[in-house]
Amino acid sequence: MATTTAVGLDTSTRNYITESKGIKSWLLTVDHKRIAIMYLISVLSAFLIGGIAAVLIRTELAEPGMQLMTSDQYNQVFTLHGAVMVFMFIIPGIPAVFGNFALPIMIGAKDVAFPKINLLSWYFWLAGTLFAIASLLINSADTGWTFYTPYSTETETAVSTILFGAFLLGFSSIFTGLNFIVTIHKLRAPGMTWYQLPLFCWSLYATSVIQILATPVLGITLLLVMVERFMGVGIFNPALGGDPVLFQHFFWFYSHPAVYIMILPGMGVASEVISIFSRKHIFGYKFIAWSSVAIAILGFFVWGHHMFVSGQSKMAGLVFSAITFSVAIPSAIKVFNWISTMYKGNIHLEAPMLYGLAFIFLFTIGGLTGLFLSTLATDVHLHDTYFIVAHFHYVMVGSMMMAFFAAMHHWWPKMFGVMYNKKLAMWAWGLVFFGFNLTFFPQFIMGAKGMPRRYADYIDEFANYHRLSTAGSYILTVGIAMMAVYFYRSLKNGKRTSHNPWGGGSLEWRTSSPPPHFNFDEEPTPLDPYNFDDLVYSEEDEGYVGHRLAHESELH
Amino acid sequence: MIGLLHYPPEKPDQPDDWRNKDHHNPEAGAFGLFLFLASLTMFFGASLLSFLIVRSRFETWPPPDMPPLPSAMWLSTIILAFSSYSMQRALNAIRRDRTRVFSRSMIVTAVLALAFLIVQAFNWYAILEANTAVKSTIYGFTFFVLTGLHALHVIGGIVPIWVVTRRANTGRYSAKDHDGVRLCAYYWHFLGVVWIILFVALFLIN
Repeated sequence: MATTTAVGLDTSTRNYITESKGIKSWLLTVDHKRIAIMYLISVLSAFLIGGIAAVLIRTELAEPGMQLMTSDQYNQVFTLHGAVMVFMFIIPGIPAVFGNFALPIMIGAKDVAFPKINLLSWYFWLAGTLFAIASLLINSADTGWTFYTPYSTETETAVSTILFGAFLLGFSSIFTGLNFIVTIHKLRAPGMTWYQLPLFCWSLYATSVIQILATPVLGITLLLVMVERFMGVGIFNPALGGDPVLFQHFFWFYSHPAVYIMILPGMGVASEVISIFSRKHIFGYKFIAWSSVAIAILGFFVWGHHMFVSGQSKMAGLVFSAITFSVAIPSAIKVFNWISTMYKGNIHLEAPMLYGLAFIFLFTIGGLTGLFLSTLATDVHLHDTYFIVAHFHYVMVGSMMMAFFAAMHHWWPKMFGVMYNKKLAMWAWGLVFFGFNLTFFPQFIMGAKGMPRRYADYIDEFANYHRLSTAGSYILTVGIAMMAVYFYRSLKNGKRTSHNPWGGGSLEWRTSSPPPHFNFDEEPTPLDPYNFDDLVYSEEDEGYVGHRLAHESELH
Repeated sequence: MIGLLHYPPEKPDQPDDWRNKDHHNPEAGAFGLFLFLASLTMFFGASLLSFLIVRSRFETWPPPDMPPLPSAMWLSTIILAFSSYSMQRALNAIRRDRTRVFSRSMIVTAVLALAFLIVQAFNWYAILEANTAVKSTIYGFTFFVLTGLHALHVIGGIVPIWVVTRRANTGRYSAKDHDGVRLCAYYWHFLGVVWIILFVALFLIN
């Protein structure tokens, strides 16, 4: 155990980081924790690339007229931003990093069911990303991340390369999902029931179902676009006798469920964090668990709401609109349960909790504005405006990114055994939360007033909204940069943490920080993951220790 | 320190230590394959659906002045059906520890799998030969894409068949322990079913 004076990453004791040395021991590892760290580094690199593109976009839009780039370059930059963020950061973000790290420990297993496939999925991620970056170097695609036909089959830019990259990233996603489902089914600690699973595992389970069943449809769609480009056959291109709306159906059949691949793991993180930092048993466990599954299932039947103005039949529009409204029910159940969990709880405003609260707040705004858009008549007005841009950023950034940061602050001490600077973390949270809202809230207003999305230039009427938005994006950037600094510094001089600094009840908080190679030294016994009453705080260890029952039995 | 797990371990690993326990769950492999096949079902299902939608735009199929699909597709269908049969025969044999029948049936399966690919190659060639413009039409495109994707998965299936066949001779499998054979058989039967559906959609419905 670390003494109180030791700081920085512990290299003297045996754990999964020190188990073996050398770059080869990482690149060929089958340890889910090491793969999680490799994913962490990779998706954060993608986040950096996508983030730089985002800042370039906002800078270009800071004033009417052209600032930094030509309008063609603008198209390339927002395509890059969207594709990199969606396929390389948001979709793999929480499952591949924190799911990989925490899920096997949470269920008391040594590893995932297929460790080699887990490593393979990381290599698929890497290969897909390299292809996407190759597209950037050749002649960056300018189609938008949705690759709508017929433009994507006609443009001269390197669309095929980035499509192939996205195709490979799909394999990565499928393998991760497959691994998680089998792991949860087959490798739970002896005696662990489904309702003893932490809710994070339930949300990953629901996510994995979507990853397995929806991703292959995207795969064949992208493949068809690529072949259409090479062979000049008209599947989607109307000039050759194809049907562009067919592409939209196929694309959204994946990409709408994919929205739930992005948000469900975040909801799982929120369930963990809200309960732990309210020191109160999660309210409505079964409702939260099953609402994840309900969202995953409903998510397959709403793709047509992206196509209200595509010329699909009015009947189809009505049906898709109605089913879309029904997604609000399980989502609202979750929000209600989180708030009920906090009610009369003993709330600790640590960094993970702050991000958890930001998640609920921003998800509520993102979710409620979704109701405007699922209403047929208003959607016709708001379609392809900044209202949409603001709406999905509130969900994909405001919710998913906040949940990612919540997870990062929550499990960082477990992953590396060190604590970051909590004071700086509060400041960074403030900047991120304020900066995010300043960036995207004005976009709702200008969108409602008619500012179209994907325009490099605009009329003066919208200038003030854009100025606010750009200022917000800079503040957000400063907040995230600050975060990078204190996380990095914590590895050098962060205080060593005990095995349970936050007082979590699930199994990962009952093994050392960082965990040993096989996750536990003794066979873990499953308990209610949300029972905090038996945990006691120890001043000596600066963390929560033992369960009170164990404590008493040791005293007597 | 109360109820804490100490690390590093003070004592060397004991034989009954948790860390030495087998992590493997014998049912994990089959379940994982089942999920993978579910994913592939969506993949082939979406491909087939796109084909049927594209096809429905045409009044006659094959479109006028396009060659009919080669009748050797019947041959590939029969070959694949027999390979599925011999694969199942191999599985049944190893379940009863009849290792000689098992290893012979595996060899037959491997040969038939290769034969299937060879006949398919002739089929593609026949279509290209009959009409050189065919590859840039929807008709040729859908044919090549659907049978091509299937062939890729067959190639992916020959690898485990080859591994199982090689191991069959070394006595690696027994009635008690033959998971590899079982999973290989499931995958192979799946490809057989996919082929039958493709065959019906491409060849039989006119």
